[in-house]
Amino acid sequence: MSVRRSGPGIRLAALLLLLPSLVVAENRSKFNAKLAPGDPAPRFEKLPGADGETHGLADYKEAKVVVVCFASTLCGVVDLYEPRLAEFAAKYKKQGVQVVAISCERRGPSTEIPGGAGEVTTPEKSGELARIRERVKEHQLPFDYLYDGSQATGRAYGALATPTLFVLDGKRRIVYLGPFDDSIPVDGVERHYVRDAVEAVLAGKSPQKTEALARGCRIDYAETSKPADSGKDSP
Amino acid sequence: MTRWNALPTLLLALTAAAVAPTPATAADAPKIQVVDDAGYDAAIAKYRGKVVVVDFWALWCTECLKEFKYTVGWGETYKDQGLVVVSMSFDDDGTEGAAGRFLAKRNANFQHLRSKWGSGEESFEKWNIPSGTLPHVKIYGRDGKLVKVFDAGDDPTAPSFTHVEVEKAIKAILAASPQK
Repeated sequence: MSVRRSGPGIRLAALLLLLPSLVVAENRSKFNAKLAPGDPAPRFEKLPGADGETHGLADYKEAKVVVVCFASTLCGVVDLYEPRLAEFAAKYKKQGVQVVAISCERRGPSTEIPGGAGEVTTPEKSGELARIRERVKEHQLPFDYLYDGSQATGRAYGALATPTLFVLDGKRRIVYLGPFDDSIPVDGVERHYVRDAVEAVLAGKSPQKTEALARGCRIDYAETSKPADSGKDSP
Repeated sequence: MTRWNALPTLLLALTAAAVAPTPATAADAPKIQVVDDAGYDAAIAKYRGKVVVVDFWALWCTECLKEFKYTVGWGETYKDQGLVVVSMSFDDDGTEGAAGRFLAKRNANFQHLRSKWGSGEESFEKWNIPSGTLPHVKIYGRDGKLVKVFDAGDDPTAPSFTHVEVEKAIKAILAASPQK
């Protein structure tokens, strides 16, 4: 009996001791409320892709590096980055780098501004998956482009802007989070954050730059979508 | 490759075409003043005694283009109660023409500023926009102090703010400090 009584007590004490470190663990990133460099990447699974199949993080187990990019077909900044991401994905595929774009877009197209987002609606009515399919086909995008109408993946990754990128190493820990590079206009690019992080992982090193502020369109999280609870899971 | 490289240009052209079907002449286009943080503070300080709404926008932010009409409207609707609206762009160099045409098309007859750092990280740091996203709105009281901020980063799990919440805040601030 005494053992049984002390069991929970010890566990509680251990938990209390752990609490300060758990609190400190919050907001370790300057830019992301949910994740920081070094954290295990939240799992995602069974997301429909442009190819008609469903995909999850665990499906990419052969990849040395996974680059997750939160995107939308209704964001001008994503449009500006798409060629850069496509070129990067094609170039690094042979080296075992898998690029995965995920859209959590719940809006339909704007009737006023071409290429812009309209009002928040249901995943089905937004037509986003159909637009993803069209875009991948038209632009021959050499990466997996998935749709998460539940928006759980975006929430779990703490993504606010599109595009926001996450570089995951072989153990699927986040080694970089932020923008693809340092300039939205392509002619102003001086620092290639994602490329440098990927090169570092491939060389068995840790990236020097581990985070930066991703800038772009806001992800409009719907009130009805439930927060993800699998944030700390790793595949 | 050619098509990809042409995309940004195409996007800008589309945006420009969408916002200005009838090309405005250079003389019609509102002036946009390029500022750093000190220049911005000086511009806002000039409106002491007024409530100031600053609409942070950019041509690359299609949502901003869609919502801009509300900012123009507030400037008219609440003018007599002492409200002033100001636009603050995070566009980069070389966008003045398209931006000017957009502002002219929207009849935006108020002060227009643009960050010297454009869409760069410095802009978001200097003006404390932790979400990295636009639209973003700041409201200053009659004493020139910042009283309200609308940013996507305030609560990442909540739906984004809309013009409805901003207008509600404007009304409340004006009501709390009536014009003398």
